[in-house]
Amino acid sequence: MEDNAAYFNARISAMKAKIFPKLTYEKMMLMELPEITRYISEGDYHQDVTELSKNFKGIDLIEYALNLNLARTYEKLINISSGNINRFITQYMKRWDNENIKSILRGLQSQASSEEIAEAIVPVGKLKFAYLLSLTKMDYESAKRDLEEKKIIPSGIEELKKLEYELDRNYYMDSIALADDIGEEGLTIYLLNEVDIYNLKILLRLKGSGADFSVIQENIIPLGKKITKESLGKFKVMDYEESIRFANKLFDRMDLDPKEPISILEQQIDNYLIRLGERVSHLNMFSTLAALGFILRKNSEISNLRLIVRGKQLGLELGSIEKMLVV
Amino acid sequence: MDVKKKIYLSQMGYRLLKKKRDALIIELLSSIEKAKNARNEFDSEYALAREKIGMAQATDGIVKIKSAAFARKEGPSFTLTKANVMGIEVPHISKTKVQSAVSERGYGIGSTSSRIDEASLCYERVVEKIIIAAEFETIIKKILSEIEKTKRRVNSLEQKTLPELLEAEKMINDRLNEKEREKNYLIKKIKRDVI
Repeated sequence: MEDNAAYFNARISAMKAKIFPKLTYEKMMLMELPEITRYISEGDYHQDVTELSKNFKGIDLIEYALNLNLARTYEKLINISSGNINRFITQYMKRWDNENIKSILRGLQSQASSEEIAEAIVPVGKLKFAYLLSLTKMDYESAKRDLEEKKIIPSGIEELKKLEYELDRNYYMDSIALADDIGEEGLTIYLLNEVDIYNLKILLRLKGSGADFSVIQENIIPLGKKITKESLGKFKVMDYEESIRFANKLFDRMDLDPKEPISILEQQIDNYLIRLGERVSHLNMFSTLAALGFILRKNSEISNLRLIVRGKQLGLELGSIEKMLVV
Repeated sequence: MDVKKKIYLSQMGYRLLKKKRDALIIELLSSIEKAKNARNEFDSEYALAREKIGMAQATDGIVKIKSAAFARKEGPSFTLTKANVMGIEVPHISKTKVQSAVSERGYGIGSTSSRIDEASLCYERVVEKIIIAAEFETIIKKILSEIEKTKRRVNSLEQKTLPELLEAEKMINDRLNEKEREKNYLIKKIKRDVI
């Protein structure tokens, strides 16, 4: 057991209790849009909504407030954890750093204004928000050089797309290495599955769009246990629908319908991973897995609220929104 | 002789310009139809694109959409040539390259989703429709301005040039007739005096 695992678990349990249950989403779906936004802004997200209300309004305000709340939650997790749990959360937050770095470099490359780029940054992650903002004021080359010097990104990669791939690959390599080092088998299983899911989504998406198989191979992270060199050889000769059926065989309890559009399949694949994470998190409640379970639930809450608010704004049918919710 | 030539030329021009005006109107009507179709296609593509971007915003969030949008380095490209419609130079857009493969959109595949792909594809189609609609609308503008010009020329020939020339011809004919009469009178007078 971790040194403060019991304390962390108690805090996490309290935080988990605050996460919206399925019933709340069902109630929200029956509300009108202004009612939903009021419900969100009067609850746990009150402080975040109030803080951002100067800069944003309407649905965008809710969305940015959800992101800010997520940032605060991670910060809290860092503060209440120690030892391996802390190491895991710190590593997990790097995925947000990667996303922010990608946004900044993409923005700088397309010569967007620093204000525009700042709107594409989520204030979550290990890197300080002030540092990220300072990057938005540089030109592409200087920002890249600065990131390389600070060893935040690998150096010597010219093409941004390749750099993005390397960031993802390095993130998963480090995460799996950390899980191995911690010795938490459940975490390693989850991470390996996450890589496989990442690869499967890329594979189906690119196959569906008719991309050449070499492009698929270039984007695959060779760390998973299911999407391997061997299975890729089989995928190569299959068409799109056969690939989906093969994925169902490859992944335990996966049930994808080849007739569904790729966007729905992608959602189902994401939900599959979340369900797996939930199952794994119950293996050891006094370890990094408790943190993983909470993080997944919190991420799902943010996605669900965003989905309901945006879905309502779009006038989506309740059935469609419900189908995409992760509960 | 000079006036007669001018009248002949003006009448020829008048007839030709009238024919040109009629042909331009036919061309205009056909272009309006094409532009209307292009506009309708644009409207339906745009509605679909809005729906798709909404779905992408709902599932991936506005931040991811903004980030993916930055990744696009190249704008749409097309070849602009000139075509001739009844003597008017109109733009003709060919070899439009707006749509691109998922792997060519500049963003990393791992950090985006198929919803973003779908929204990107729909907006690429919207841009294509805008280009087509812009082509027809420019043609319509050019034809309209040419019709206006032709109409002014026809009117000017009909209301001013031709009546003036005909008037001048009449005046010259009258003058010549009068001179002829004077000449006849003088001949008759001389004959009478001599006899």
